[in-house]
Amino acid sequence: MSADASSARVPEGRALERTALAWNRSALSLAATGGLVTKAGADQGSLTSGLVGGGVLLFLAVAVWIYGRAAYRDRRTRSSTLFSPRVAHSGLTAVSVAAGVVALVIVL
Amino acid sequence: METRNVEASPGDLGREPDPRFSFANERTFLAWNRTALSLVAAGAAAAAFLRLGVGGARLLVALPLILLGTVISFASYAQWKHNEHALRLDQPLPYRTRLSRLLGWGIALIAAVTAALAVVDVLISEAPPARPANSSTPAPR
Repeated sequence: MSADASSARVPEGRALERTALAWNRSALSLAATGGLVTKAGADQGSLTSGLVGGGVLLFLAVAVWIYGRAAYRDRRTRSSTLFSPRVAHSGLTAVSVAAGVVALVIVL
Repeated sequence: METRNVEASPGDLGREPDPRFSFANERTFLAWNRTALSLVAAGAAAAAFLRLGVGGARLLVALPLILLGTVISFASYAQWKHNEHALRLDQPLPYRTRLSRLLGWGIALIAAVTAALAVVDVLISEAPPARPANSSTPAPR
């Protein structure tokens, strides 16, 4: 089946695409935060904690990106998604809070 | 008759809303979450790059940014859930949220503190260096 035919079948096609792109941007923001946390750790003289914290955030950024892609594909084909939106959103909130805690630990 | 239960999962309430509205709500949550992450990143950047002559100034800028980002991250999830409830129960969405007020006032306060610190830093750097206590200028003849 071509992509055009698939889009025509799903009335919310463009809204779905915008949502997938928003997940992409969230993953990029998380990756950028991970890079800055690593840099801040190196400048504070705690390179190890910076590398660990930044590495964890970069790993989580990849996980968010993979989830965004999978959710887009599943919603487009109307199959069940990996997680319910509630689980996915609370997970992303937990990841953001973890980023804040890691940054706090490194800054202090 | 439907009763409102804010503790229940959004999926358990009312009727399934138009998916476009759900996606719009999800994008709004993601945008707030990115804002929170940007604040955390700005705090980390302030800790890494800010060099001010005032002692502790770096922390005074970095800590509020990181804390504000963490609070907004929590609040964005609560707002998404509240909006999802409202969509499912056909209730109106709030036009002006507490979250935007929190972000506005928080950024204004941090900007004011940062500006004050920058002014103090400039004043300190332009002040003449203090003369050492044991240095004595020769008396003119």
